[in-house]
Amino acid sequence: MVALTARRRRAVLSLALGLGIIAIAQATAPSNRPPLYDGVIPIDAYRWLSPPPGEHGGAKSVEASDLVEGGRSPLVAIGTPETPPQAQIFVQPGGLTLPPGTTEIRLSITPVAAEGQPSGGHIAGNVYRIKVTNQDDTALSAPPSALGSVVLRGPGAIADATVEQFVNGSWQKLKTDPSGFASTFLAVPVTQFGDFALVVPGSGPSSANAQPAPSQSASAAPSPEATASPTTSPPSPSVDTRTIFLALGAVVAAVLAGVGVWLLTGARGRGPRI
Amino acid sequence: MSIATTATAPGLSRAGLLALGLGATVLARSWATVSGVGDALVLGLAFGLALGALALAAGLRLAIPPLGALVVGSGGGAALVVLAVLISRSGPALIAGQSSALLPWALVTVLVATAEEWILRGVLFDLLDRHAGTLAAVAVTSAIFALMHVPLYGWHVVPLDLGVGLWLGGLRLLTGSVAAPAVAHVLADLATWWL
Repeated sequence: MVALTARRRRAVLSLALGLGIIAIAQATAPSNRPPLYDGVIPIDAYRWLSPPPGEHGGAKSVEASDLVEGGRSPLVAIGTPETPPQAQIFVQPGGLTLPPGTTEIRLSITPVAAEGQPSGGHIAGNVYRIKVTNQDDTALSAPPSALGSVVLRGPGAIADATVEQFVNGSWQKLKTDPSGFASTFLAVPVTQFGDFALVVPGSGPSSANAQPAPSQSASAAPSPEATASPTTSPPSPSVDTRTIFLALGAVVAAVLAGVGVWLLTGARGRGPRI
Repeated sequence: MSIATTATAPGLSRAGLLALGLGATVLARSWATVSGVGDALVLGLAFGLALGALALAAGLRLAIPPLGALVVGSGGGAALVVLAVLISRSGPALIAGQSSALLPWALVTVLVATAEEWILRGVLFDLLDRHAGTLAAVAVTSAIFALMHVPLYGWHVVPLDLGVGLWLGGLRLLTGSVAAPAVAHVLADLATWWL
């Protein structure tokens, strides 16, 4: 009875401590999107504009347009078609500064060749050119209060990176937070649009050095829906023999490990139910 | 479903080997995912099967779960989801891009979450509880739960997943069954489809 009570007390302590940590972590997290806790979230291989050997090509661009109603810009929220998107942009409704006579917002995110390299790091993945203009091709900006955001995903597992913007011939760091998901980083606030890239510390291979991805979308349509345009590099198949071998290998390895545990400890009997 | 494990010494060696097997499986899945060698659902299926096989080989014994544990687990999972919704920050929401159908995704998610619980709050928890004490069982399984998500999601998930690990460990202690944390874990993971 005493042991049971102590066990229950520890259970309550663990629950309370866990709840407190969860609350603090959720409240201070940079983003409320996945992972909530875990789960199976599809993560496509990174698509390069100019893939290094052994990497996947086929980086995609996206275009969208929307009408201005009531003199306020609409919600801006588009991303490239990969899963998760490799580049995204968000601006709150009414967040864009509109010149007089603006009737339409045009958006595009395009992987482009890098112009110069950042100091103190190297570009991880593609450089993305983000254009936000009106129907006259006049570039639009957003005040800091609009919380304009640029989200970039990098290749592989990146623990630390900064979103940088190419301004006046040099790369400039933006305030960056990790999204906590799949090497994805968030820059807020972004006030001017242009070329953005994820920069990781140290030296490394140059990433984007090819021509801009051709676009096939028809952005004149007054629709908030984004349209994606693939580049010339075809994506590789998502399931291949390597996957099958990997799956089988993982199962075999796990079984062997379990058998090893079993043999090592000479387990034979049945224990108490837990 | 509740489980029983074989009770033998040296339990801590078994626990260490189990943790190593779990770590190797996690790293293999993470490498395969970020390398893009295959569909995430297929890799998730392989991961879940591998963990399940590891748990069974290490002594997991399946049994009918106690109803009380299922009820407590459901409440625990609902609490996790409600907490996430209530405390979620305003601001840009990242586009997750659910590219698969709900049913296969849900089946794989249930398998992965359940298999993780079989290993952590099932076999490993029981070993540590008997050979190193209850506090060690909760602390170690919570720490492993947090660390095993780092390769895919980064270090930033450690505080959150550590808290969730303690919560799930508390459910395991409270009910005496792995069914409670398994149900809670499954519910929280399934909620990501709608959140």
